[in-house]
Amino acid sequence: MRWIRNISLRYKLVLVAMLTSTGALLLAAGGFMAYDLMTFRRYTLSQLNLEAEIVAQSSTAALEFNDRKPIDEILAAVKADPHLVAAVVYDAQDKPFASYIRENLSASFTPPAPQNVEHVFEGNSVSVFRRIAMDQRFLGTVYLRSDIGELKTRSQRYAGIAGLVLLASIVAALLLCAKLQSLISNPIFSLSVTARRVALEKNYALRAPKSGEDEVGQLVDGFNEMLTQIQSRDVALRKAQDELELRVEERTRELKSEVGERRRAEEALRESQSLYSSLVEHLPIWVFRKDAEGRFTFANSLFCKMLGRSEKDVIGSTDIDFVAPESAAKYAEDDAKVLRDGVTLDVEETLRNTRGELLHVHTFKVPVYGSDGTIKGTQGCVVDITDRKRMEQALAYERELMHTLMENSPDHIYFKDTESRFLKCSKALATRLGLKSPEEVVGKSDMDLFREDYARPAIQEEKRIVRTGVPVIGKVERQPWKDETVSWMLTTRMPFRDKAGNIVGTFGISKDITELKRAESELEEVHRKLVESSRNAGMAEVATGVLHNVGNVLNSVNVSANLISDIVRKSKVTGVGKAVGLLRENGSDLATFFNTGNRAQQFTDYLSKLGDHLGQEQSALLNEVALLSDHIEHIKEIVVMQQGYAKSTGLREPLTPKSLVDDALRINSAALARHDVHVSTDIDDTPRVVVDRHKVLQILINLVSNAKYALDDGHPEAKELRISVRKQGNHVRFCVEDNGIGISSDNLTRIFQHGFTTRKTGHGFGLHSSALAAKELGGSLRAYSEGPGRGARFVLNLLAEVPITEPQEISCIQ
Amino acid sequence: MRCIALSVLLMVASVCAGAEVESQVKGALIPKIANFVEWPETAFSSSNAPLVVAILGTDPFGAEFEQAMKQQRIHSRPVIVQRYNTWAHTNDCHILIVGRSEAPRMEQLVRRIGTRPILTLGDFAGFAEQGGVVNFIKVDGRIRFEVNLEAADKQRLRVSARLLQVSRVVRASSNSSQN
Repeated sequence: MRWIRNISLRYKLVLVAMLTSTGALLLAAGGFMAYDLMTFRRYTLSQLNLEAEIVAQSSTAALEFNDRKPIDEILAAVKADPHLVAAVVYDAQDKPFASYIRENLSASFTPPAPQNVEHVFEGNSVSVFRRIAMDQRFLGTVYLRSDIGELKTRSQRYAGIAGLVLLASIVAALLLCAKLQSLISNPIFSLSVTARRVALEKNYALRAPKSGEDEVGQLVDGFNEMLTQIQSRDVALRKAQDELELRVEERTRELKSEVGERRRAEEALRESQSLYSSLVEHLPIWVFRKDAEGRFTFANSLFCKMLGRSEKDVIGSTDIDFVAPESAAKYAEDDAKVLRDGVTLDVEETLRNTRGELLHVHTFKVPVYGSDGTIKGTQGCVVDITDRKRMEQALAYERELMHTLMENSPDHIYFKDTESRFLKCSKALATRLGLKSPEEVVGKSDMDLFREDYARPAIQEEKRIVRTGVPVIGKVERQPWKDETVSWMLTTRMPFRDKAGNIVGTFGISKDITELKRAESELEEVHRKLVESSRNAGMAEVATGVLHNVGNVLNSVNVSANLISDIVRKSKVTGVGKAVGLLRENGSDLATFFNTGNRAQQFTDYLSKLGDHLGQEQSALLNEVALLSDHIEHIKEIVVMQQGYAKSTGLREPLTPKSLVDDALRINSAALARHDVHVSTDIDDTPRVVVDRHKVLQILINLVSNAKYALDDGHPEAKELRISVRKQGNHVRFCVEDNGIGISSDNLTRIFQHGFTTRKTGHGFGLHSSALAAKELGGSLRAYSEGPGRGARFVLNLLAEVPITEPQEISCIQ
Repeated sequence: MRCIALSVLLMVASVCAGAEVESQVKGALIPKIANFVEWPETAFSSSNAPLVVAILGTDPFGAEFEQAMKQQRIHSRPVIVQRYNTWAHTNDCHILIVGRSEAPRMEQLVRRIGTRPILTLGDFAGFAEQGGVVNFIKVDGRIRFEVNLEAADKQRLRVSARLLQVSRVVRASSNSSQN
């Protein structure tokens, strides 16, 4: 049976179910069979009893009256029962009265003696005895015997059916069970799988899936709960373990550090001892200790060396053994003071060493305290400060020199740190700033001392110097002071470096050159006036040109006027008078006049021709008058142009480039035509330029005029002057180009210089003033040429008009 | 009882011996027949009231019969035997044994009895046919009896089927018989 315990739950379930159902079925089948056989037996018996009763009833009268006939009849009837083996009726004397015995048995069967029992089962048969009585009178006995073969047959058939049913049931149960066992086994399997995984992986975070609320579900819950507890315990355990480890580690570390500390302390002690000895022995100081009586108890080697004695000699001696008595007395006095008051003595003094050199020393003396807190003696250290003293003296001298310079120089001298704060300044600067002493500037910056418009760029410049180390030398500056006066200064600013060469600030010297500057500006004024007069001269030249132009046009006007007078003089209008005279002569008889010859025809022809002629005259006159009018208009324009040119309003207005170019060309048109210059323009649709019209015209006229001269001098085959206007970025670019004589590269650099000209008649201010004007207008003027004989190109750039959005209504801001 | 029955059977066995024996056998059969016949309740005054056997006319069974009958019990009742010479006194009997002498007066007798519960017993040919209930006959030399069921009905008697198994059934005024 051991194997049953080891087989899978699945098979166990099937086995149990099969055994149970088979057992139940067997029991049921057996029960049914037993019940049926019993019932059948009872039925057989009752059947037999009934038959016996019938036979008995039927036999009553027969026995009573000794008549066999009814018995024979009833026996014949009873014979129909196939199981009936024998039927015997006995009389009162128990002698067989009548009988029936189945044929196949008649030989062997002998009726038994009547027995006083109801029925007897024997072998394959059952026998029934029944008394026959009449009013309690015994008449005889009936004996019936039936085989129970049917019982056998029946039980065999039953066994067969039961076997088949059992087989079918087992198969059905097996199938059902195999199917249904998963209801129980699957959750248990999944639980078991989880349990195995938990056992294998030691992973207590796993959980068994729950399939329902039955016992297995409760088992799963229990299992999961158990896992949760194990998990939490595991975590707690691990935590405890970790903590324990941590504690052990910590303790170990503490122990280590304790040991280390002790070792360190020892090392520190050793080190401190060695430090102490190295401090005392190697520092360039003299260290000594004295007892209360002034005897040396300790002296370092330097001290001994200074005294020129061995340490052995020094220990136990007193000052009087080494120094002059007056010095020894002073030292003793000092010692006493320290011993008495417990004060620290810090004095600078002089002493002579054994070589007789005078030394400056710095002496510290402090009391030595015993363990009971009382002063046991003195100790001190002495530093040789002779070199320092010497240096201080040298420094003081240098400072004196510096002081002299700073106090007395009329120049503004200053030093500043990297943040442009004054470190020092000369007295002259302080005075100029209205300060009482130069010290007042320390820590302040230009922002505090000067006007902001000067201070800000000055600080910027100083920052740049600090950053780059590049000095500013000999710069002429306009310096406005806070008192609203202005000076011109010649300034040099330098980086201020420390010994290592690092820039630690700036210093500078400024010289007041206001007077010099004034003289210079006067000179400039003279020059300006000179230029102005030159310019006026130039304007005169322009005016000459204008008058020349006007003269030219007037020539045309003259021609037109002559032509008109000619036409009028030669007019056929007199013909009308003649015709009228003729008509008037013949006024009395016009009919006769017209009817003579073909005079009417001739007269009509004449008038017709006259009319035609007069019409022609009229149109010729109108033409000439129109030309005249044009010329006059031209003159007017020239005059207006000149007027416009002459006055410089300084007013800036938005103008289209085209109008400017047209104006410039118009003023020069006569001259250009006269010199056979072919002019072509190529003007883009650009934004307008906001300029002083006259200045631009001045420039353009000058350029056109120059081009004309260049073309004259260049003698090209065809004189070409091209003017183009383009938009370029936020500028409008005017380009005046010619194929004239060109400009050599040498001259190209000098061309805008004041007074430069290549023309004998030029005065050299045209391009110069044009360039200035362009700059004034916020633009520029540049010249390009590929060399002599290859033409030149002048480019004027002017700022384009910035489109302004329409201003909003402002009525509400009244 | 058994001794009596035994003796009766022995008598029956020796029936062929003679008329004496024959009448004795017949006398022994009477209580047996009576036991297969049921009277209505009203025929008896009480449950233990005696059954009255009346003999009318010539006595076919003699004094021994009377003696034998007195010892008998029919339906557990004691038996009283009365003898009558005329039919005029035959009111209160249950069994009326009609002697051969009465054969000519059968019609009157039957009318006189009417529907009273009286088992009429005769021993002559035509008794049953003329309205008697049970009549002894001889078949194959053996004493048998015939039963007129109509007469029995008339007399309100119930005759057991078992008795009919061993008797001839006859109808009134008819010679047809049934086995």
